Amino acid sequence: MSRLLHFVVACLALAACCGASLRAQGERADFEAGVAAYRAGDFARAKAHWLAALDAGAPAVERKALLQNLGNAAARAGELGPAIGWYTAALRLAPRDADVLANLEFARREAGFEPYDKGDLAATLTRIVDAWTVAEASWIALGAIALFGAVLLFEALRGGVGWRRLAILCGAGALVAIVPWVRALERERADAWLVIEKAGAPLVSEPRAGATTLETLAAGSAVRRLDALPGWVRVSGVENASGWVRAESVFQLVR
Amino acid sequence: MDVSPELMLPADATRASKTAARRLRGTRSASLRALRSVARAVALATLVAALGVVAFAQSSEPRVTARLSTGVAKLGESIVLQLVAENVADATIAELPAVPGLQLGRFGSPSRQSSTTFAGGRVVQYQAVTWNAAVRPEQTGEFTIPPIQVRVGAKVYASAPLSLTVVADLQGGDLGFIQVLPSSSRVIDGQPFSVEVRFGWDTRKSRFNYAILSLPWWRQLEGTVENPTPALARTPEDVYVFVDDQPLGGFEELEPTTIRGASFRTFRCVKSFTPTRAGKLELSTSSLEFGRVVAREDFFMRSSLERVEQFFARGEPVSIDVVPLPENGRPFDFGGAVGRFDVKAGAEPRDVTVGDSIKFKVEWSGSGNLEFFEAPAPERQDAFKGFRVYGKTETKSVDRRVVEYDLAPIDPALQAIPPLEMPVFDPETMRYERLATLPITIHVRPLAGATGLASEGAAQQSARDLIDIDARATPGSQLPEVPGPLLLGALVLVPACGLFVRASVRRRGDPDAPAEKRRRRAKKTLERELAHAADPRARFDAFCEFLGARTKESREAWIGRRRAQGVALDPALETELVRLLEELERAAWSGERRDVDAAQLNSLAERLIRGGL
Repeated sequence: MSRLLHFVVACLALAACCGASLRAQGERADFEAGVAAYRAGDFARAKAHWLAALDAGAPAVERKALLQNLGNAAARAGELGPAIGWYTAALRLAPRDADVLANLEFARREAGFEPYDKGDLAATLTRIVDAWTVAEASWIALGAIALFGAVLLFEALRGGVGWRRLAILCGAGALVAIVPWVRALERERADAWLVIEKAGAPLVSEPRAGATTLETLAAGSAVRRLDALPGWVRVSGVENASGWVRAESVFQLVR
Repeated sequence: MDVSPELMLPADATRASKTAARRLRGTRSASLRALRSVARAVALATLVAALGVVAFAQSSEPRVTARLSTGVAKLGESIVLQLVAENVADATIAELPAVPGLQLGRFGSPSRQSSTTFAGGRVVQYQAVTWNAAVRPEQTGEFTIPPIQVRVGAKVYASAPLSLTVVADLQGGDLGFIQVLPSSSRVIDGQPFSVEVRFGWDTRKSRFNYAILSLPWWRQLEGTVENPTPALARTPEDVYVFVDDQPLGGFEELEPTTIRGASFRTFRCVKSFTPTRAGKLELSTSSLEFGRVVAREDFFMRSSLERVEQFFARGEPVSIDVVPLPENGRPFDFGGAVGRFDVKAGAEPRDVTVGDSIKFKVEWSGSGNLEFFEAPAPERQDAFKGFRVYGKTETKSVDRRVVEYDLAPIDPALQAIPPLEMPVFDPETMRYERLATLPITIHVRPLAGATGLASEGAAQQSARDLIDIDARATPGSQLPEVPGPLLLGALVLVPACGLFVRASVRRRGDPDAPAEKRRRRAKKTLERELAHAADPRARFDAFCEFLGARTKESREAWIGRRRAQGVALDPALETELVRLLEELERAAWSGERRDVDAAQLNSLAERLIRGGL
């Protein structure tokens, strides 16, 4: 009986491994087919293949590459708004990817949006803080805390003004190092959407034509999804006013 | 009868006081004399107050009167209309009437008068507010100035109507003249025009030395903007000329003019305007006051002019038609230039490399709205496609407009700066025309290793294209994420543990204290000193120093000591320490040849530290 049980468990494990391998092969095939279609100039078919790979979970294929490629396909097809959305979504997964950033800036410029990186001090600081994934930011924060602990230990054992000042400095550094992690967590958990309408998206009070316009969400501004109905998405606006926007005016960034 | 002074009527007060005084004189009583003086004073004060009240009551009704400085005036002469509101402290003029044929000037700021007088034994107070305004007849005839209303508080009072007879100054009309001469009686909207005023008097009247021009449109002509007027050169110094009440700065004397067979000394002044809307511009009747003035000085050496002879002459009213620009045939790039212009252009330098700046200077001159049109933009003209326009600087004046463009050729094949075109409306031919500069030959050298800025621009454009797709599809290396609770726990626990350790350590003393530092360095110091020790004495001293540092005592405390007092040591280790100290002492002080080597001392020191020393 025990042998039979072991045999069944072994078979199930083998089947699971084989299934995962087959699924990975399928995603790989979709990815390659998308590349081939893109090279042939068939951007719609490339998009369909890459979307299929993306929807399948794509553990074997780097999702960032899929999102970037979908952005290129949309841009080449003349759909600059969705292209901006795809690039922004890719940038959430690889915040320091130079290619994605360059393509995003290019698409935004071509579409008449404001630059993603405005170049001022606030934008630069935001970029530095947001340039890490959640995992990277968590290790940075842990390293800073460990360093703080080590310095604190030295200060406890040896004393002296120098060690004390260094401990205070490291403590402040550890607190600062937490910020990117908190930001990354918030970014990852929020159901973020992007306004991709060049003229901005009217935020209306109810999901129907002719409803009162509360405000117009600026092109390229990020909003948080609260609810959805066919053709409509309820979002929290820039000034935290919630309302409905047409689904084609916004783009889901969490992919 | 004794009557109290306070109860008497004011009219009887003096008499009663005198009667009472006569009666009281016989009594020769000091107290009654004092009472009499008080009664007199009170009676007098009551009398004055009563009279004052009566006087005020009589003068409290406001009254408005108006008067002219003369009832008969010559055409062109300036008359003063004076309006007085009496028995009021403050008042405002409600409305100024309009009288055709009379030009009523604005009332100036009011002057206030207040006085208190004693008249016929009564106190009379007088208050008045007075305004003055200039009245200038524009035509002859009988005129009636209707009542002028003055508002005092909530009430309105009116003056009586005034009559004025205006007669022509026949002698002045023969002796002087004034003419208003517009440059054209019909102008296009936006086309500048000038108005020249000529005036003067008979040359035989050489003593005449002043002129006052009455030109209602001179300061502001509705529907126009005034253009700067060039200074006139030959301003005579023997003549005073005013426009209304202001001295005229820019006028000049011309050659004598013959009018009606007589020679007239002639002056001119000019104003230039640019119409801002279509319609009719009315330059109402102008008049000239002229004659002779002499300068006088008063007691305070202040000079003033006094009229000795005064004459008046009248000019004819003039109107100018402003017609709108025709829509038919208006070029799309018309910038509002109206007039007859000449244009010339120059460029510097003309031998350049691709991308170098060329100053392309264009100058328009002639008669027209040179200050107001919009200069043409080369970047909007197809002929300038081979150039990049970096900007322009403009200089405007009445007679010329200069624009300097900063151009850069971007193609080495360029051989000339093309004609710069500007559409202009010619008011004489009533047509839109294109005014163009002549082409200017230039030599453009290519950049080293490049074909020009145009190709450079193309390279930039291709560089700005999308970056290609990521076709590698390499699996991403997933960095494991540090669990959030662990991170937050570390953030809280690390400082807590650090503080706990710190507090524990501090309980034994400050680790940064000199004794503690000496204790920590004791082993290294011993090794260093033993390495340099040349005799047993030096080794003994070094070891005592080590023991003193570790026990936070002085080195001398361990000389001659046979027990490690205060230190919990293993008995065997303590025995060995005592034995070694004895050997060291003997070697150091007795001169025996037995010695303890450095390795043995270092080894013991190590064991002592481990053993809790």
